[in-house]
Amino acid sequence: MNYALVTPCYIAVAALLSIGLYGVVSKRNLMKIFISLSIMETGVNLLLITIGYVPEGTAPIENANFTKYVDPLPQALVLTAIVIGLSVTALAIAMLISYYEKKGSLEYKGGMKW
Amino acid sequence: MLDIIFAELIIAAIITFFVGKKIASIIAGFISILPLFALIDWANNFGFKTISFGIERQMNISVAGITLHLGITPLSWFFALMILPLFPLIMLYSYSFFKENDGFYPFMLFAFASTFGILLSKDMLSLFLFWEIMSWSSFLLVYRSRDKEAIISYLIFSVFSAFAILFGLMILWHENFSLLLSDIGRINGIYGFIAIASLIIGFSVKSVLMPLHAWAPFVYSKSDEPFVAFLSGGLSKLGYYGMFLFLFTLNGVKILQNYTPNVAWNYLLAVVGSLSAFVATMLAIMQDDLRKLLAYSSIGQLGYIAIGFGIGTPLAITGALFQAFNHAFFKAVLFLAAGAVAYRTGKWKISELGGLAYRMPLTFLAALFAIFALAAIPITSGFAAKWLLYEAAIQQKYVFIAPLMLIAGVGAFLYSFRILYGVFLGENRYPDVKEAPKSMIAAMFILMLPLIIFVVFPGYMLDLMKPALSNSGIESIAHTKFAIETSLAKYNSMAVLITLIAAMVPAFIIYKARKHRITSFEDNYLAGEPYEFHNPSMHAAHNFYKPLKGVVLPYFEPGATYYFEKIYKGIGILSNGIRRIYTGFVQDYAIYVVIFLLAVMGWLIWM
Amino acid sequence: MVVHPVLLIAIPLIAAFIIPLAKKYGFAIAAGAMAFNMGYAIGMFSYIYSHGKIYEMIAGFKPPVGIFLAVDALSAMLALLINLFAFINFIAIGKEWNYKFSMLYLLAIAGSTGIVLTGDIFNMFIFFEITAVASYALIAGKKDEKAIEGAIKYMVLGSIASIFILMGIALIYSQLKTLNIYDIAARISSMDEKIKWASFALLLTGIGVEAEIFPLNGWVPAAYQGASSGVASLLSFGPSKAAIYAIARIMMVIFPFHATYEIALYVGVVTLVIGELAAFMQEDVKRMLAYSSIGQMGLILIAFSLASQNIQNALIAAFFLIISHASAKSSLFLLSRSPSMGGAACKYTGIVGVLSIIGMPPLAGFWGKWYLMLAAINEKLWLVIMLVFFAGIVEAGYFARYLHKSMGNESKLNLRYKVAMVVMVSFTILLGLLPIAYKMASLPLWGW
Repeated sequence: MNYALVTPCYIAVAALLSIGLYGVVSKRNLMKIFISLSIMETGVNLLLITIGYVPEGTAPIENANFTKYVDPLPQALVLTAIVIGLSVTALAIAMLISYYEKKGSLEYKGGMKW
Repeated sequence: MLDIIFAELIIAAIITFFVGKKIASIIAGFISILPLFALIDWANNFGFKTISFGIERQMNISVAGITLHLGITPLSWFFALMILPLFPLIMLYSYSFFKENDGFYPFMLFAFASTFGILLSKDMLSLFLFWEIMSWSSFLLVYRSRDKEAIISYLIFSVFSAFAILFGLMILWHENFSLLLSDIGRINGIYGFIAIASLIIGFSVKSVLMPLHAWAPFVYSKSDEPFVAFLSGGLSKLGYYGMFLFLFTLNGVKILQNYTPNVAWNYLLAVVGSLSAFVATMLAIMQDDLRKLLAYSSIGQLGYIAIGFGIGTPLAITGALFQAFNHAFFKAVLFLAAGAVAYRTGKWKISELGGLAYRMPLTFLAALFAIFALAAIPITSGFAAKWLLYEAAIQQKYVFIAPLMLIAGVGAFLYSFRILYGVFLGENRYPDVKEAPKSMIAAMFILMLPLIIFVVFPGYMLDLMKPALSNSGIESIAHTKFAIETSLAKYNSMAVLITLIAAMVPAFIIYKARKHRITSFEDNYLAGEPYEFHNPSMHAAHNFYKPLKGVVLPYFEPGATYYFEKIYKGIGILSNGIRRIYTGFVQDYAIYVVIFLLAVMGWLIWM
Repeated sequence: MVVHPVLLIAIPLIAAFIIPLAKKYGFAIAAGAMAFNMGYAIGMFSYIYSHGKIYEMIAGFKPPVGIFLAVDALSAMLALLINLFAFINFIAIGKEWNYKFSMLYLLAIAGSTGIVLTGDIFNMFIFFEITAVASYALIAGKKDEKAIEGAIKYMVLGSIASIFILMGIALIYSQLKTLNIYDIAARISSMDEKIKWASFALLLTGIGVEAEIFPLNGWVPAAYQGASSGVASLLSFGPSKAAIYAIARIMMVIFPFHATYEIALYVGVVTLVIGELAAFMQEDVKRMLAYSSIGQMGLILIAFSLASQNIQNALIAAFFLIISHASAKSSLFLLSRSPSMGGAACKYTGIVGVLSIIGMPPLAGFWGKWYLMLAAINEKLWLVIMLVFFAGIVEAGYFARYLHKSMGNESKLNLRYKVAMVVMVSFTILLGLLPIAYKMASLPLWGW
């Protein structure tokens, strides 16, 4: 199997996930946290696509000329995942707006505890 | 018939939720008589000729896909005889005690049904099931007290006891895969030992043995008196029923001995019982709250039963069962009398009461008789019971236990004297108080009946417990109608009675012949000055045992209930520490998630 | 096939899409859809009770390609439970909110039902997301500071969870090229050892966030405390139960290994002890109930994790614990709306709920603990048993304090709340008493 393209992809997945995770854990600004979450999501989506990748495969469109095409299912999954991620992000932003209205800031300083 | 009795108890409990107070108490009273018919019928089994109502001795009831094996055994018959008669009388008493029906009757009936069930259960599941129903129904009766300590401590200890019992039963089940209690005898080794020990611990919560009694002072002193009368008179006996069942009928003693031949576990039980009797009696002497006094007195008196079980000779066990029977009745009478006093005066403190014997003579009479039985004054059946226990301890040369018992016996007299003197005698502080309502008086006097009967015929009591003893392989001691014979001595109630009457009658005549002048309390002058009248220090009960107080309280009080509060607070500190995990920062929570993921992954891959 | 489980998911989804078009009738449409769902779930349950498992291939595609629903006795029971309680709860609280609430509520229910019915891990992921997104919005619906904060916490952890679930699915797919759980289960041994374990860890972590497992449950106290009592009630019988079932299903069907059961057992015990201890000193009622829920989820997880050896006892225990916890906790959350619980209805709801959770007979919680003990003693897990007992005693402590504290004046809850509470809590009595509950629990057709 040709790993020339796949290996960098996995490295990118790992990088995206760790950047996102770092953001979630270290940032206090809620907007930055949600941006980091989006970055993580992108990483997972990339992972799914990479899994479905077949070296030298083409787009999974039925055509007699192509015998080797990438796995279509992960792509469908990624589409769904993107839609879900989008809706979560939209809701998050709506919620951040009302958080901002309540507190006057997006800095999260800890609230209900113990 | 048996299932019908159960069904009627449950249905009555549900009906009493919805009806008014009067109807509820009438229904409850009549329904709770039903099981007594069964008791009378079952007496035929054990060598007594009575009427037969055709009630089964054995019955399997199927509920929720499981079969409950119920049946009467000699042991449960004897315990039923001491516990079940309390119910109708408590219902009779409560007819005038409660102003409205606010949840007393239904839960009392549930408690009754479950008590009956515990006594009849022949398999572990039904034993535990009924035990738990008894726990929650009594908890809901405690809940009516609205007292924080009582509610919390009762629920915690109930759950603790239930878990200890469940643990023991589960081990027994696992060892021979049979839920029937009769199959237990085959267990030996460490599992048998753990099972029996944990069962004993579980049962000793309800029978208020000393380290596990911490709920009792709160609960006994804050709940409704009719319920407390049942709690102290009836429910505590269920704990001892369980102990007797597993220790003697089901060979628990042998299981313990086989595993640890060199350790006398029964001696430990006797020591715990005697310490319980001693410490609680000392604390009872110091109490000013009548209910707290009676609570500690219950703990002390119940300790005697544990002593008897611990000593384990036929003499001791006979004494213990005798004491259990007596305690059921005299403590019920005492709590009911205390309730009657509070019903009329609204006061609980001994220092605020006084002179009620003039206004409530019948209540006084009942309380007096119960106190005689409690203090084991010769002639009452209480004496016969304790005498058997003393003798058993002396026979076995238990030098640690016998003196403690004797001191506790004297102590019992000291605090009962306070009840008599502080509450009923002395200055008449309540000139307008009326005698307690008729139903209360009736209930107390009927409860006195067995005590009176066994004063004259202590032999009858031994007859009653004979089937239970012989079923457990314990020989009963020699006796006639009036006399109990042991190796040391012979107690003849008739001789004592005649002697006492012979001494009392002339004394009474002399007392009546003398002229009496009742002086008013205000006649007190101190150096020519009239003493301030309502000064509490003038009350007869004020600083009654002051010299003892400094000696006793510093040593006993911390150990008695405070250890429970310490544990409670300790768990609270632990809880406050654990709660800090939830810091409130979502970033921390995210770190937890990642750590968990890595930990699980690492565990699975490298382990 | 007479019964189509897919309708249980499709009808609320369709209704949720119709509601924005007919805003005025939002409540009626949602109530109608839920009533249908409830009836259909009852029908499906009775069908399964007499006929056994159902597999439904959606649109006729066969697995592994097609989307596929697998309904066994436990999942039918859970679907019934969720839809039944959802209907009762919605009737009580739905009128207080506008059409958006009805819509979100329907989505949450459709998602939870989907999680328990689906036999396809990617669909499980989608249903998780539907449920989670709807729940975020429902929690934030109260629109005060606490509600928003709770929702944001849930959202951050929920998003991380969804990423982990998706990664787990991706790892499984990369090896086996299938998403159907039975297909995966059949070929799990051909998976690379490390990737197998990594995917299980990812799925456990991801679903564990929804299932309130320690230490993944940071959002739980905040979300329950912030949410309105009706939504807190929904969270306690809907998504959390579906999620714990999803863990059980993944563990038992896909990864039935000694190590996974062991991990679930440890995690369950830790969750139980930490949850109960954290609740012990808690003053805020909703937060206390939330911690208590955490503890109960741990108990349910323990029950499932014992199924490796004693499948019968363990699953009966899980069944009764789920019923007991769902009915008791959701009614207690409804009750938490009023500060005191005076009045017969409120008082006895509170008492029965508490007693059922503590495990008193003849309530469902008792059978849960009894069978749990039977299963645990069979494996001689002494430490686990001791910790369960300790947790039970701690639980008794704070519930007694709760009962004492909330004693008081007549509560001002309206009639709908009271009826809903009483009906919900009566299930724990009914199922503890009726012989059918035991038969149901011991059915030989658990679909594992």
